[in-house]
Amino acid sequence: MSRLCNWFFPAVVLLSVLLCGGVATAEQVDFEAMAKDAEDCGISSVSVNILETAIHDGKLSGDEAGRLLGHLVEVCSEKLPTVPFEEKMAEGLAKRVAPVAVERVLAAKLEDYRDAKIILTEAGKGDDPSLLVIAGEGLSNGVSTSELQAFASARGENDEKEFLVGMEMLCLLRQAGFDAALVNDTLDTGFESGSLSPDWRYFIRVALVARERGVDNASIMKAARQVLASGGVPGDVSIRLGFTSRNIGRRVN
Amino acid sequence: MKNIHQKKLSDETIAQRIRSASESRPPADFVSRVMDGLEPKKLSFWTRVRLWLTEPRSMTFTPVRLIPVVATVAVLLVVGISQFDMLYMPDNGNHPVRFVFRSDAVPASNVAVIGSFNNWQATGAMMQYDRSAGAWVLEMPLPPGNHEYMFLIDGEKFVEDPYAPLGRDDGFGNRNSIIIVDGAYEQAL
Repeated sequence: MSRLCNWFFPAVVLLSVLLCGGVATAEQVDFEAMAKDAEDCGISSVSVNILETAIHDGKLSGDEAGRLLGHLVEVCSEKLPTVPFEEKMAEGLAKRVAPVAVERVLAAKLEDYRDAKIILTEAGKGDDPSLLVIAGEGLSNGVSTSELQAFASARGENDEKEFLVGMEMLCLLRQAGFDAALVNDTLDTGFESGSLSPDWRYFIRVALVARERGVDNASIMKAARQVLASGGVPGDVSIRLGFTSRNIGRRVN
Repeated sequence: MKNIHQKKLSDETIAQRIRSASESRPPADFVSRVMDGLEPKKLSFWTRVRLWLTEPRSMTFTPVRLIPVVATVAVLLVVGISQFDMLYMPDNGNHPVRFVFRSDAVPASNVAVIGSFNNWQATGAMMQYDRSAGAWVLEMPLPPGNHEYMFLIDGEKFVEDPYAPLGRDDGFGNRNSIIIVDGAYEQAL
């Protein structure tokens, strides 16, 4: 009996090691194959490297990494912009979030992007990846589908650039908690006056800093409407609100 | 006594003879032979540098010869200024952004800014503690657009920027701060 124990336990340990090693190797091979497919599809090598490093460091199993990569490949195969998904995956892993939770977030984001694509396609703007990112991120961050749909159907005929600026303003201002009616009135003024220049993509900065300094939302949007009606730029809103000129490009807390 | 007197006389005689001797010119190569016989004094490197720097010099120039020199200096200045601009002005459309983290509420021995702009990696994004400001500071160039970020304290704790005017649920139970970087047009408020 004691002789049996002498060789039995080491043999079991050796067998376990070999089996585990074999499984790990198989997972590694699977991941490598997936990684190649992913890169062929357009997933960045940075994302693949992040997953490979996580496997190497023991933070992810090959299976977990493969599933995460599978989400990215799915996004890619649907011809949706992959960068926001890659960034979200990197964020989750950097924050040491459980891989299952990262998968859940990626899946929800994919649904939002699918909805965004439908909305934009119906408005005749489905091919622009910049618009898809703005709309997809808007939906991911709390802008309602109906609101986005209303904007797209009402402004689908407008100029591409103005449409993009308007949609970005809508998404960011709504995320920042500005009232939907106020935002829509402001956008209507901008479209009617034809003054939604690319500068207005960054109007949110003026709006947020003005609010931080105690100006209420209605006054900010009223000033924005007045400036838009006269063909001005966001800097004019700050002047209209009575602020002295000061660089807000560099944040000093 | 006699000897001393004789010697005294002898000295006086000699002096008188010297005084009355006819003056003759030294040989032509006298100075050079004497100087050649002297061991040259070696100056140290720093002494030579000091002498070179402190010895007054005079320069002569003509305006015609000065033109290429002035032109070269002007070209170097222009190139230097443009290089300086490239260092401190937006590169590839990027704009310098200053992140500030005040550690009053959260004690920290090291702080990094992680965000969508650096794949949420702390490498190369460590902040420096500014004693005079009492805050952790990092300046980095970012492209125009909206960027999500958080502060990573001591490599473990994720903290939202309390001064960020806009935040966003990250879907993982935290709240990311958002910084909005302008395009070419710098807004003012």
